[in-house]
This record gives sequence, C-alpha cells and structure tokens, in this order.
Amino acid sequence: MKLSASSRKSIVQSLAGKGLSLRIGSFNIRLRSSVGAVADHLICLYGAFNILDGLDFIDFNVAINPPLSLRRYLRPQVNFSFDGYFPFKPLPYAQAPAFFEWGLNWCIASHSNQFLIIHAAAVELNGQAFIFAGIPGSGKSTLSAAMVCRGWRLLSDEMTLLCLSDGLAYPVPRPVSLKNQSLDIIRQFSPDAIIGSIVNDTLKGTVGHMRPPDSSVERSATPALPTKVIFPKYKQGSQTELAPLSKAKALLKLAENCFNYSALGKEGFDGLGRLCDATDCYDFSYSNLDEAIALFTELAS
Amino acid sequence: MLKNYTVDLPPNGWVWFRFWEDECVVFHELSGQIHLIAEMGAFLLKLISEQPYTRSQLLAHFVNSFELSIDFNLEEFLDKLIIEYQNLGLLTVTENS
Repeated sequence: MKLSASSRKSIVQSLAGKGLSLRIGSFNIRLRSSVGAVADHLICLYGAFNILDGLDFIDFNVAINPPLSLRRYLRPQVNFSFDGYFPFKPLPYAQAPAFFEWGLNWCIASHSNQFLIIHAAAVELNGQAFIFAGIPGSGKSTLSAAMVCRGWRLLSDEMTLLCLSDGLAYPVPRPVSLKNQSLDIIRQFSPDAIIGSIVNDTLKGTVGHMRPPDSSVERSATPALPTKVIFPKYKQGSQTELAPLSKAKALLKLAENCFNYSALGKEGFDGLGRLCDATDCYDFSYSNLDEAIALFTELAS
Repeated sequence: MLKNYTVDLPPNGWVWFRFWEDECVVFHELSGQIHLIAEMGAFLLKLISEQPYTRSQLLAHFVNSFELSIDFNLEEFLDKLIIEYQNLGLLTVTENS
C-alpha cells in the first residue's frame, strides 16, 4: 500500500507507536517519531512509497524524537537514532524533517558496502543513467531536480549506488535536497514541483526537499546502466559547456567523491575503473537549465 | 643513485593500475593512496606492470618511444622518476650484480 493511501492520523499513530516501515529503493526502513513535522514531511514527499507490513526485514531502524530532558521544553531539540545508537548531536526541533533525510543518508552511506557509493546524483533517460558527481555546491542536485521536472527518471540524489557485481546504478529515489538559491531556481523553473517545508539556519543554510516524481518511485526496483559521468559546475552567467574529461582524471575525481572507496579498497578501485571504462566523462559548466537539459536529452537520444 | 638496477612491481600485490591512452591511475592498496600519472611516468609504469626492466632496457624504450630534445637528460630524468615512485611504494629497485 502506498503511503498516500493512509490518513494523516494513521501515519502519526504508526510513527508514534511501532514505527512506519517504508520501502525506499533497495532498503527497508522503519521510522519512529513523535514529531508532527516529520509526519507532514512524509505525507508531502513520500506519498508514492510503499508501506511495508510488519514481517519484512528492516535494514535501518531509525527514530527522530526529542531528548528526554528539559531540552524538550527549553529551545527544543531532536535526536536522530539508528538501532538505538545516537550518531549525531541533537539539532533544533525545527530541523527534524531534514535531520531524518541527513540521518538516512548516513545510514546508507555507512552500511551499504555492497555498493560503491559516490557523492553524486543520478538520473536516467532512454535506459541511460547520467551520473552527476561533485562537491557540495557544485549544482548537481539543482541540475538533477530540473531534469526530473522535465521527464528524466530520478535514480538518486546525494548518493549514487553503483553495484560492484553488475556495474548498474541502483535507484534510491528519495526527495531531492535543495539549498539556498537552488530552491528559488527550481520554484521558478518548475512551479509544479512539490517542495516540502523549508528549514532555515541549518549548517547548510536554508534547506528544502523536492518530492521525487511518482513514476521514479514506482520504478525503484529497476537499476540503470551508467553511460555518462559528469562533473557539473553551476556558475551564474556562464555558458553551457561540456568538455571531455580523460578517464584517468575522472577516476581520480570520482575517488575523491566516494563515501566508501577506502573501505572497499581494491574492489572499489576496480569498480570505479569499470565505471570509467563504460562511460564518457565530462566536466560541465552551466547556468541555463533549459540549455543543459536540451544538451543532455540529445546525448541520451 | 645506482646506475645498474632492475625495476619491478612491489612484491606483495599492493599496487594496482588502470591505463588509458597516455595516462594511468595507480592505487596503492596498503596506504589507500591513489595517484594520477601521465605521459612518461605512465609509460614507465605500463612497462614494468608487464615485466621487470633493467635501467638500460628502460632507457632504450624511452629513446625509441619519445622524441626527446638534445638537451634533455634522459638518464637523470629516469633516475629521479624511479626514486620518486620508489618512495611512493609504486615500484621496487634491485641493484644488479
């Protein structure tokens, strides 16, 4: 059953009780939370995801709850817990929905070494997965958000899961994280985009999440073959420019953007090598989303 | 610097290569370091990834494969390159008897 078929009341009850279990890409997660904003975040952004019954194996048991202390009342905060362990310091109460997203990122990045995990967004069209890798602020989420607003399938934001055995990119089509001016850019670019609650004054600035297309969520079980690795750089006023990048330089840049490269050792090196063998690699600078999407759509045709 | 030596890969399989055209990426498994190496360095590593070479054999390969200017001191360049890569753990040098 999809989450959108449940009432807010039953979602709130599940979250406050035994937890709400969701299938997200390759993972089963169970979330407990007494925070109303977390329920609203799920209702707004996770409506197309399937709720699991109580019998499924759960990969990540997580919770977002206020601490059991006076901080519940004075400048309230929330904790993120994973299997009863608190990997982070608490954050302000208003950041609870974003804390869920960041915490889940950490769970996946820290515990999924069956995948090579690259700090990259991935989108797909015509069976071709394009991987947008780069440091925070390079514009990869903005670009991928705009592309999925124009019909590309969202495979993942924040992290690309590359399977070491088959080389395919596995979907985790969670909400796209948008920061600061990217929020306005996407609002103007696609007024129909659904963006959840906005959280100000985080360590990353102002943060909001865009709902993934229902069609992307429905195809969560279908991986895609990477054909392009692109290192985007958003620069206001810049020309749209796609410059070929040697495979060796691309491998080095990918290694710098991997979460678990050092943990995987030679297996990770081989995985990146195979990815570079199988793809065309580019540096990409842009400021005009329509031009960028037209270029990539042509490349994928 | 020795003048009569053989260059080979480290003995324990710590070093892994990926070669593309005139570039290569080297992964040193023990340190976790990754190195991007181009042109003559990549050429040297490509050779020794296939088999050990003596200094004189390497010099001959470089002379045959690159258009070197008259004032380029190939021997000094090769010796320095080998010391640098030896220090990074990418190859081993054995003195020939």
